[in-house]
Parts: sequence; structure tokens; C-alpha cells
Amino acid sequence: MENNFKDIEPLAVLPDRVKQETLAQLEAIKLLMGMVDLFTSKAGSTISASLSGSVELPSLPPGEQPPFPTDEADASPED
Amino acid sequence: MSRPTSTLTDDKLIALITTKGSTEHFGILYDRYANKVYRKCLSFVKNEEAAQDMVQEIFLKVFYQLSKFKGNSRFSTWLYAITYNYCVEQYRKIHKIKKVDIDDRLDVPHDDDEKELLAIRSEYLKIALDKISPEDKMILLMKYQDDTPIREIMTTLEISESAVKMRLARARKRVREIVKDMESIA
Repeated sequence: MENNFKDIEPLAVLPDRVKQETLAQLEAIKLLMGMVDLFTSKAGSTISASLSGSVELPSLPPGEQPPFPTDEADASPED
Repeated sequence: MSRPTSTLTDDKLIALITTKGSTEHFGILYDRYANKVYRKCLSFVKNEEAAQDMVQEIFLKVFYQLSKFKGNSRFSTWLYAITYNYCVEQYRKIHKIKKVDIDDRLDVPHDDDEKELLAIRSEYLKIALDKISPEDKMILLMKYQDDTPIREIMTTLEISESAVKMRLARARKRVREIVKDMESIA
């Protein structure tokens, strides 16, 4: 059966440059997403570890005060 | 000996791309279909540069949506559906046409001669397809240019069989009416 829809399709050919650009863009997005993933998963695990108390802070030598106020310091009376 | 990657089926390539995120395999899929996608874009936007940008956008979209491809239709049908939807969207943006909801509950038009439609002279057919709505053009191209079975059109457009038939019949009718007008003037 005759079908003129087949005849009206354009015959243009896509330049090679478009493939290179598409794949390069894809690689760039993948790289960016990989970095975001890495950052968010690391940050996520650090936050969850600190919340669960599994992060251990380095201990200070005896008698030395930490450079920031601690809960213990806050709890002690000021006078 | 392992099979050369270029002879792998679409499904095998898709599996490799979705599991390994392989751009090399995606490149093979690109080579198979990019020209087809380009020509479809061109038939909607009529501008080579714009159509090339659209091909890039479509393939980036496809890469990130590949995991959603369930194999309910051929890969080509799924890809062309994404292409057509994107083309319709772009066409609407360029021509500043608002989206209209399509009512599929109307009756199927009577005078529906498929043979007559397919025999319309190419130059008239081209003009008529540019005058109908982009959605009508999309469904006609899917059916008569890509030979997509009704069942696959249903799946990819997520509409019922009767809705596909209804839209096809209405689109055919519109094309025939436009061609009739052109012939009466000529």
C-alpha cells in the first residue's frame, strides 16, 4: 500500500560534533553527580556518627582546657 | 570470545548502561538512533541548529531515564515517544501555544479512509501536518511513519486503545480537510 508519510521524513544527517558534545556533557554531569554523591554520603555519615556519639574527640593532656566551651564547663556554676 | 559491543541488542546495551553507567555503550545506542531522532526534531522545528540542541537534550534525558524503561515496548518506540513529547513541548514554546486537554470521549468520525490519507501527495501532506496540532502530528507520525503498533502507542502515551483510535481518526480527518481546502484552491 502506498504510504507518503515515508517520503516526507527529512533526510538530514546529524553532524559528528553533536555526539561528541552530548557524550562530553554526559561525562561532566556524571562527574559532578559523583562528587555530590561523595560529599553528601560522607557528610551524611559524619553527621549521623556524631549524633550517635560514635565520633571520638582527641583527648587533651591533663590540666589543659579545651579552646571551646564544653557541656561540662556549661554545667559548672560561674561564681 | 566475547561478542563485539556494536552487535549487542538494544536490551543488552541498556542493561550495561544502567548497571555500569557506561557512556561507551550509550554511544552505540546513540549511533543507532540519533539520526532518526534528529529528523523527527527537524520535522517539528525546521531549524537545524535548534534540532541539534534538541537531540542533545533528548539523549541526556534518555540516559537518566533508562532505568525507567521496563521493556513493555521496543526501545525505539520508547525513545521516539520521549522525542515526540519533547518536540511537542518545544513547538508549543516556540509558537507560544498553550496546552489543551484532549477529550477522548467523543465519537470516532465516520468518513475514515486510511488509504486515502496515505496516498495524499507528499507536498500537501507536509503542509497539512504543519497546520494541525503538534499532538495530532505526533500520533500520525508514530503510526504511519514509524509503523508503531496501536498497543505500543497505548503503552507509551499511557492512554487507552479507544483513545488512540479516536485521536488517530480525528487527526486523519483534520489532515484530509486541510488537503481538501488546498486542492480546491489549486
